[in-house]
Amino acid sequence: MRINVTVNGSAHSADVEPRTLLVHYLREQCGLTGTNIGCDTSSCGACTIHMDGESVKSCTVLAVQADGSDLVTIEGMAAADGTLHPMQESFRQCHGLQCGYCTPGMVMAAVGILNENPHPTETEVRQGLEGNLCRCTGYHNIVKAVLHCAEGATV
Amino acid sequence: MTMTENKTGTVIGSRLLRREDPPLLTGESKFTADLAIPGALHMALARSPYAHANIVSVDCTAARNMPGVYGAWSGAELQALWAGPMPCAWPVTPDMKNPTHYPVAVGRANYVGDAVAVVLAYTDAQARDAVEAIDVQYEALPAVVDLEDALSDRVLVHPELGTNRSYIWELKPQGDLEPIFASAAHTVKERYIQQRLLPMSMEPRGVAAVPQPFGGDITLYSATQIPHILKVMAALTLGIPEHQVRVVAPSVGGGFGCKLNVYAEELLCTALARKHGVPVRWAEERGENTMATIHGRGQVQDIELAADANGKIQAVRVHLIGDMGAYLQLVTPGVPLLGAFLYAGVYDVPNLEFVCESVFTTMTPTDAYRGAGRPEATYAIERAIDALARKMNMDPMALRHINFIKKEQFPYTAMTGLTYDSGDHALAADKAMEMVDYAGVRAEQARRRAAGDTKQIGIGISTYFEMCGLAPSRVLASLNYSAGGWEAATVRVLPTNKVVVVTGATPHGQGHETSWSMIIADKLGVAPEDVQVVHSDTALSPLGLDTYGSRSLVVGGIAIVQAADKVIDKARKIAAHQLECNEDDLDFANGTEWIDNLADRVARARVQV
Repeated sequence: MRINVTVNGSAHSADVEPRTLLVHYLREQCGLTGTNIGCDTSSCGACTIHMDGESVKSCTVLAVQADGSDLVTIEGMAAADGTLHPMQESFRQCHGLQCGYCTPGMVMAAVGILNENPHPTETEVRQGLEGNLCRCTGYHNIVKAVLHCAEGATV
Repeated sequence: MTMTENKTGTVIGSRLLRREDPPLLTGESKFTADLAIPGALHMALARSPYAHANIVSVDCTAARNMPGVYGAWSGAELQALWAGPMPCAWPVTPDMKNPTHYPVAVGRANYVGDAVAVVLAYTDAQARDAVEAIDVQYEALPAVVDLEDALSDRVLVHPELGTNRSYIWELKPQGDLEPIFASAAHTVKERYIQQRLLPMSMEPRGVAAVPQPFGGDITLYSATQIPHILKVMAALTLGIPEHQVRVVAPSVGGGFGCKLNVYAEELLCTALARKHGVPVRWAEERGENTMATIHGRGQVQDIELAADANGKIQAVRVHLIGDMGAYLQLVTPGVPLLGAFLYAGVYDVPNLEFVCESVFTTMTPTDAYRGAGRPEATYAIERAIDALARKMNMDPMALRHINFIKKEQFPYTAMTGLTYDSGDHALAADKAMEMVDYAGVRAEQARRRAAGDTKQIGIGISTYFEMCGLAPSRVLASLNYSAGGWEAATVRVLPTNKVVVVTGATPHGQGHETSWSMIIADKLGVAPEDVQVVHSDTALSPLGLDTYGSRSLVVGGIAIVQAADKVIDKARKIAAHQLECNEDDLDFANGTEWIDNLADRVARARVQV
């Protein structure tokens, strides 16, 4: 089936099998491997991207469902000149990552939280990130990074 | 007297943002599954749904006729690929039983997830579709999932061994402790179950093998903690000359011990890529990860304490049953023994007896996971101390204080023969108790108990004593650990005064690049950003024993310090020659600056460190 999507600002048109998952389309057909696959079952959130401005787990969206959508992946977050997105910078400043495998999904989910609620409480951040798993950090510094970003920057 | 501020030694301890982070934060980092490998075939495996079963037949005919399938094989059809069985690098006793273990089971499956057939196809989806079409006939056998049941040999996991017991290992430095227990004022005997755990790194395992069909070399990419050990083991098990194998660990998304191994899929991809002259890759699904990646823990712990009338512990006696799972993976048998020396915890215990019997079960092999044997030991001694405190009606912290090794006893020679160099457990414990207001919390607990409050509180206490940083040592030798424990480093200074550090440690989230650059910055007086850290590729870093057991900084870091010292020594000779002074009169300051102590001046030699 043919789909037309915008990915990180660029128009893409592609033929996909009806069963193709959005994450596989992004990784294999668009070559955007920054979106990681952690669990295949929408448990871990490593594959979180933005679809029309909302956080979605791209392992649980069919590529055909994304037809006509505006998609943003982790590769679309930093500025063209290499300046990190404020959320990426906050993760860096607050040591919100170690192995980095959950990080792209974590950053996308975190930006999604602030889009909906620009000034969340710590509890709201923790609840907002409950769909994203991290195995290294114990979450504390991730939560700190999101709060740091909410205080210091417009997202 | 020096005329310049010595600039070395100021970076460690300062706050430095991690250089690893920008590529990880932007999606630029490449994990194994991210690698673009033109022409790679995708591997998928049929796995046993039975814990224990005879494999009556494997029919791959239908799978071979599926779209996009390159080939499909049973375990028997792949036997010619193996020069040797899967490796276990830790023969803890000379008579340890180690069942022959091939990457794909032949004749009998011994755990749920044991591979029984393999498919190669042009896409991952085609390979997994074809696995569904493989017809395997099983004859189910009784499962063995209880450790005491396993010890009874009621059902043999590997009938050819004649027993389910892999080994029995003893540490009895004071001999038979029964007389002490018989005459002790207080004894407790407890049984604790260490349940199995799934290590669950966020990145599942992944492998890609890229052959050079005409040159003969092969590159194996793997989400591994141990590219160096894997290189040796792949060479041995596949019959490839070691110098023709290169192993690369790309960005690795966490390990926690589960990537400290040599796995069937690594050997399969490598062997099939070589045989067919095409790259072969495999990406683990999370469901497979729960079955076919090692599990952690798995022990039955029987622990006994004997104490005098005051609560001073006279002896600790431990009997473990270790769950090996169906096979011995790389360091499976050694894991329970890593705790052997720690069952006395932080306490002044004069007598210890430790016996570990390890058994095969029809479950996924166990192996190293976070602390590996040592947290289990801590759990047992700390729970047992609490049990003794309850029995003696003593405050558990007071009982611990009675038994702490005292500050004035350091350096302390433990009953195991090990020396502990320093410590002040009582001070640390008092500080912790003060921070939580232990007396206040106890009072609050008593108040709520008395009042029958609907919200009750429990207070748990644990101390922790760790033996880590696996390095060449008496302990490692006594455990017959065959990997040695050393580490390697190379420090090279480039023509423009940038520095390259090659390390044998292999990070998977720890931040070695940042830390190692800080060590060099302090040693050589260069900026940390002027230091490149090369790792995780056996072609670039040919020597090393990788990252596990908290060894990277304490062993690998010291190797870097020593390599940097050699660079300074070499530069000193040249600087002395250029400055026309005695080597012994020169102190290295930083970068290109040397302090000439005799002339009381800073001299700038043209030699870079």
